[in-house]
Amino acid sequence: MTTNTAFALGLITSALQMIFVMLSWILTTYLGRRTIYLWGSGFNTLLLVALGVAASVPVTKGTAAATAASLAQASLGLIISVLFTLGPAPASWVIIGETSAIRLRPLTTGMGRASYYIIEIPCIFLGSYMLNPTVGLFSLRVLR
Amino acid sequence: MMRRVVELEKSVNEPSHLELFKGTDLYRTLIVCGVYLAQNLTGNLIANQAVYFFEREFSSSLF
Repeated sequence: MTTNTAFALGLITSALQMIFVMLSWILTTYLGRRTIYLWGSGFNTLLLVALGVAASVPVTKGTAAATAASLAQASLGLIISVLFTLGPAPASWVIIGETSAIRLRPLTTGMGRASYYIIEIPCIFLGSYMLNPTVGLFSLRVLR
Repeated sequence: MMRRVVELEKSVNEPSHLELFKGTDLYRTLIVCGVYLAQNLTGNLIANQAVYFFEREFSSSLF
């Protein structure tokens, strides 16, 4: 894949995410935020487990099975990131905005954002280790 | 709604951070923190790297 194709695929992912956020506006007229958030998160968890299974099956490099497992990981990654923008992502912003008491809203939201950044630091480290093919905590599993 | 919030902000006394951890507001704080944390913990940092997985599979042949 050339750099241009990779860049285009990244843009396509973002475009799909934008379209699915717009579809979520339609979805909110039919379902409540609680329903969307819980079912969306549950379904995404299921797909993430499927991605993990696809990354964990032992296959020998270069075979058709290895290609299939790799493609499954790639497609599931795309589907998960797009489906996340349809359900849980917009619903989570609604929950964040509406849960706190009006008087304490800035403080509560600030506290939530702070906890988000605190947990993001280890997540970034783990993510880099998972994706790096040479230095690998999980390299044998996630990357072959 | 916006007008009411602005008026309310003028009339009530200054909120303190300690109030976030008392009574019902503790639950509200926990829910907001949990929802924020879930955004990270649902693996979006990995799932958003789908292009990288495709790139790895078709290093130059297919595209």
